[in-house]
Amino acid sequence: MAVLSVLVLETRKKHRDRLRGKLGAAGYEVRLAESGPALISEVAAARPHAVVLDIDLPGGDGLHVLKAVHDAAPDLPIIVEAGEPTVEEAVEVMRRGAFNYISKRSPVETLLHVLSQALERERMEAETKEKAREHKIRTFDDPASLAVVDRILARHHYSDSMLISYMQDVQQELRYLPQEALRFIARRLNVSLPRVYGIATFYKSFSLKPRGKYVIQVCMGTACHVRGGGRILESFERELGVPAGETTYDERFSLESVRCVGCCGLAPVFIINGKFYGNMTQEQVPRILAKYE
Amino acid sequence: MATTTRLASLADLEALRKRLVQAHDPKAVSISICAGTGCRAHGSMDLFDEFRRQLEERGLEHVELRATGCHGFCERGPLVVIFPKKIFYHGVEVRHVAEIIEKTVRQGEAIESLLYKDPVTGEVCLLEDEVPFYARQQRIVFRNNGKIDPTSIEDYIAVGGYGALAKALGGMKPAGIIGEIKKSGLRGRGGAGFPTGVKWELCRKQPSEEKYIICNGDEGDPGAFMDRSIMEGDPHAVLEGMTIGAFAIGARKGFIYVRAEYPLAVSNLTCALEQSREVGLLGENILGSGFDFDVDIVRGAGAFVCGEETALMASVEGREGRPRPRPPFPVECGLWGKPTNINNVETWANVPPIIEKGSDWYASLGTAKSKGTKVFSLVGKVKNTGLIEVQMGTTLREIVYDIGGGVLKDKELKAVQTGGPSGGCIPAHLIDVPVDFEELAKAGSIMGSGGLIVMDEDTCMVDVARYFVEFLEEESCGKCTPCREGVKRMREILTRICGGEGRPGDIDLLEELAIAVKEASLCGLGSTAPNPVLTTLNYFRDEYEAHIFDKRCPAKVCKALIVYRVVPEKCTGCQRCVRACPVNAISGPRSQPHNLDQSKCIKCGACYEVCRFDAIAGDAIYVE
Repeated sequence: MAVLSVLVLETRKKHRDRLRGKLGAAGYEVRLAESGPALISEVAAARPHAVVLDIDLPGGDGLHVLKAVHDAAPDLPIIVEAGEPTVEEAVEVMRRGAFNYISKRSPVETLLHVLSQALERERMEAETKEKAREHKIRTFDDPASLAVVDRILARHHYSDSMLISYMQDVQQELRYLPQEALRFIARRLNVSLPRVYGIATFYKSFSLKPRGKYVIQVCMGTACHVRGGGRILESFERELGVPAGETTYDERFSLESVRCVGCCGLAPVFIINGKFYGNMTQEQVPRILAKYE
Repeated sequence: MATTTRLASLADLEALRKRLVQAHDPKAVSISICAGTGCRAHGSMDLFDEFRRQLEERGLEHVELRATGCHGFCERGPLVVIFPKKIFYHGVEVRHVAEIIEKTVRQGEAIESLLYKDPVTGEVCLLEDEVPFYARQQRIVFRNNGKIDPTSIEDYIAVGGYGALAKALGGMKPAGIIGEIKKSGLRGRGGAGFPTGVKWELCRKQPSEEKYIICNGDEGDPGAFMDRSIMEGDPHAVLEGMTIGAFAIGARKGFIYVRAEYPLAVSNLTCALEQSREVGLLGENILGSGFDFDVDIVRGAGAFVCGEETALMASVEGREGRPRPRPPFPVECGLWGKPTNINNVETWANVPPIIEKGSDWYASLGTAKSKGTKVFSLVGKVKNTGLIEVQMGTTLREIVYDIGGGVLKDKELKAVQTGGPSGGCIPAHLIDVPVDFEELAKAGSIMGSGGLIVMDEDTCMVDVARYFVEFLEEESCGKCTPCREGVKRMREILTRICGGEGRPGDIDLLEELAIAVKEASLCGLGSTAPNPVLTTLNYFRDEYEAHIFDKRCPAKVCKALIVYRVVPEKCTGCQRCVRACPVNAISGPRSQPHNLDQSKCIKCGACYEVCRFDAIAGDAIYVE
């Protein structure tokens, strides 16, 4: 892992040296800023992973600097230190976007702890964003996906009466119906987007969200209902930690409830990616899931 | 298709049939493996591969091996039948294959451990027809299921397939065909029971040049799967029926609308279509008669309301499947505004035998107003689950006890639900009702597509009513207010009752709402939506009252009204429930009665399911 950099603005030299020593010993790359304006330009020039800011700047500039840094880099965690902490100041500091507010007299361990919290949060946020960006690429900009869609439309000569069938084929290829695919279909067939969207939301087999690698369909037909299908569904919800209709965070499993798959003789039934499991009990659910881990 | 070339005339078809029959030695041993969805779930395709591998290994490639459509007895799958004797094996596993080949295929001996043993009499049944499940059935629609490979048109022709079409095209006039269908008394198998011949005649009389026919395979009723089995197991029978119908009506184009959930049906039908086109049984100038007809498959996309004919047509046209008011009826103004005749899969599959054997034969079966046979899916709390075909007028008692073998674990029968979400629950005391369109209607239910869901003492009727209403709320297309809002309110009241928060007056409110929704809804979905509520209120009002006034669920189903307890006298301390409990609510050392912490219990019932000693009891309690 790359070295994490912390940018420190501290007016008192003794405390500054202490921080530099301790943070350096904890493995951080410590950079020092001379003044408020220097801190702001430093953040703009080379964004650190976190900022430690002395609020007691000369001329009472601390709060202004805090706001300026926060406005320039809203995601950057800023830890504020105060020589004489007060509740009023704490409220004001947090309101201006600080990550935390601590006393200079606290042991350095407190600062290290807060710092690691801040960096953990930043790491998670970055990961979420990265993930969202990946989706976005798959969702909106992937020319390969659109080529797939176009090939499907060409199969039946772009006839609009085949609309539902096209959408089924697209879903089969891409595992869901990305927004851009719907727009593309509407443009290419010269039908209105509301009509395409209407179909995508009217029929249950269409999904506008990416589905997981494994799609679990728990049958909720009458025979399955009277033989305990509802309990099987709940047991999946517990095991996967997501309600029916959702996909697990790692995009491994999508859990869906369906109305009768026509295999009533073996109730209760569920299907994982087309494979049928009949005469099921709750006890078997974790074992079967384990096969798909 | 190597042996078959294009059939240009009726004589060509007969010649082909003759050739196929002659090539087949009726005494030769052949193996038929059920490849219906139920048996596939039991692993029948692995079994098929294993048979093929071992037959080749032993130099027995000449033994015919068939993956057939559903045999019906899903409970006991995978099913294997050895012809010509029709020795019936159930629950066959891969490890049995070698023994079956050595003993039964080579030496003609039966393997007793794989034969069906009647759980009541203990009698061992050698042949399929001896098994009580089959012995009382009469198979017309299912005549070929289990006998032929659904992906082989030669198999179908060899057993007489397309003979009815040849008869119709060869010597009958369209009016004559319609006359036969009318005389046979065939009524629509999709649910409403409208006379098929009358519908055809109405459509034929329309002046339009262009007409369509549709096969409704959007089998939406939960608990019914006969159409699936027909489409999967005997797709050519559906195509033959449709071609005869199209000829009689004067249509040149047909559509089969298949549910999204039935991929195997789509693939077998597609295969059948391609074969029929290739040999000239579909397309231009069928069998040299000058009649043109072709069929396309349309896949549904998951909407229950598309079983309703006007919604279905909207879906075929590539729009949202919302119903519209009738009249005009589809026979006047249907697909793309043209006259359109819609029949259900089972109805179409009945057409070829009627044309072949005559209307008198068909009309001799069944009751005064309901002729022929009906396929039912016998499921729920019954021992022998599966698909059965019996004459109309067979009593529920015969179906549940003689064919179905009685209620699971010999519990007490409470009701039989028929007709899907539009139907109703027939209580145990009406078990001697002969099943036909009229009698079911008299009991407050409907035939529907033929689902029979058996319910025992452990089924809560309020919960069943809530289940159906919730289903319909989800499936309501939202176009008309009584259905959209009324069904929602009914569901809210029922959820409240099941949750132990029922109020005095809820029953009256439910009845009032039910009647309003029934009378004011636009299509069949809404106007029949209150049926499950009305019939359960009619026959099981005491259960509603127990929920509302005593805060008790007599069947011990509704979570809010039950607690699970360990019965210390029965508990052996085996720890199975301790392991099964997902929230660690059960504790206790091995061999000593366990403790169940009520504050942790989420009432999932996992402990109850695994307890072998009946030590965990779902007890109804009072909620203040």
